[in-house]
Amino acid sequence: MTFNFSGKRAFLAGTVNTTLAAVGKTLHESGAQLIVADESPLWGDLPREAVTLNMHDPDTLRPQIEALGEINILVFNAGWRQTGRFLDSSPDDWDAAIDANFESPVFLAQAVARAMIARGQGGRIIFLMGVEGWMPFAGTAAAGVSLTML
Amino acid sequence: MRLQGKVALVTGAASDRSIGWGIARALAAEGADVALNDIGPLDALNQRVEDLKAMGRRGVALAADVTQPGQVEAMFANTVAALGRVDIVASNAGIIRWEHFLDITPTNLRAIVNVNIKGNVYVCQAAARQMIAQGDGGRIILTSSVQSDVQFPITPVYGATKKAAHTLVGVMALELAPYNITVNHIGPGWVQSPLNDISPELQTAGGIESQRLAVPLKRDGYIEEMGRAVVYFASSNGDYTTGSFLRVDGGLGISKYSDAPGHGNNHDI
Repeated sequence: MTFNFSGKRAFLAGTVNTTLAAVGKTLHESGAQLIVADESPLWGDLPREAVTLNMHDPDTLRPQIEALGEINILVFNAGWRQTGRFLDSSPDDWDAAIDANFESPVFLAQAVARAMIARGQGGRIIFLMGVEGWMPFAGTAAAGVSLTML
Repeated sequence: MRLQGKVALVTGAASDRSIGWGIARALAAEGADVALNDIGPLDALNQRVEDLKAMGRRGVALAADVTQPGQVEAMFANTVAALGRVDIVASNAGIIRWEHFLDITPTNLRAIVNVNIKGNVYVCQAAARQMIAQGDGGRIILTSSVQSDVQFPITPVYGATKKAAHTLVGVMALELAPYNITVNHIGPGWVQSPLNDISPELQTAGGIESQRLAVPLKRDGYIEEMGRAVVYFASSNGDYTTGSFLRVDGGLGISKYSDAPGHGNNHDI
């Protein structure tokens, strides 16, 4: 299967792992320009523009996104996956899971969607999730709940 | 009397129009003594305890913020001190805000998540620890929503938390089954509880009528009906039921995407 994303700009955010890197590689090989929210050796030699964003404050984030110019595709990898017994999960665990897998992607998608709407060209927003968000597994309460929310 | 000798704790139960009170009253009607929690108003919470006593049950008022783990721990300790044990916990406290996805604010997002997710987590952890210490099982029942099944506009964060309640219930059911603790949730549809008092679509007679027509059974749900669903899970009738979801919504969830006349998809829960 081949894709043609020539002239498209793709923004990759969230946890940088081999999955997100593979998405970036496919998008690049299909002609897309890449913008990444976090640098990582996993990006390898992929041509990319790296940016720093505040994903916790929409008022700060929106102008940051608008300054990036046109974004046609957003891919966010919700990658918080700590495991452990529900009874042992701490408030800090829940804060971390909800921040990484729900709050940050919600505000980022909100800002990107606003920018897409303003440009009138539509767009694509894709979250990389996990099966924990679709069905319960013992030991995955915080990860699963935060992914289901997203 | 299916719950004679049992002790229950119900969160979010101060208002006499609340689902929490409907749950508490249904549990008490089956014989349970009930600890009632809310963050306020406390005079109303105390009045509910008097109502329980008028039913011949023991009760205790426990003012606590479920988003604060320390207050939740104290709430359980006070329940045990007053009523001796905890057999049934209805983690019912919840909040809602109406705003479009594009307008979600950090303040509202965090407020909803704190109560609807973290509040449930802290209450259920404390409940399970107490039940495990008692050594003879227990029942935990969350109040989610029809929105656990289907999405509604204008309540994206509330809906997300209610859908996630199903995952939380499922994980807890798996992990607590070895202790004979069952975990389930009920999904109320449209109830004219204080939660919905500021619903944008329920501010006029026409809006309420539109809501009524959207429900296949053509009426709002009563708080006692939510309570009776909780009684099923809490009683021996529910011995073999865990990780389950029971919608109590007059069919609203199955009608939301129907094209049949009188059905709609613009309604708040």
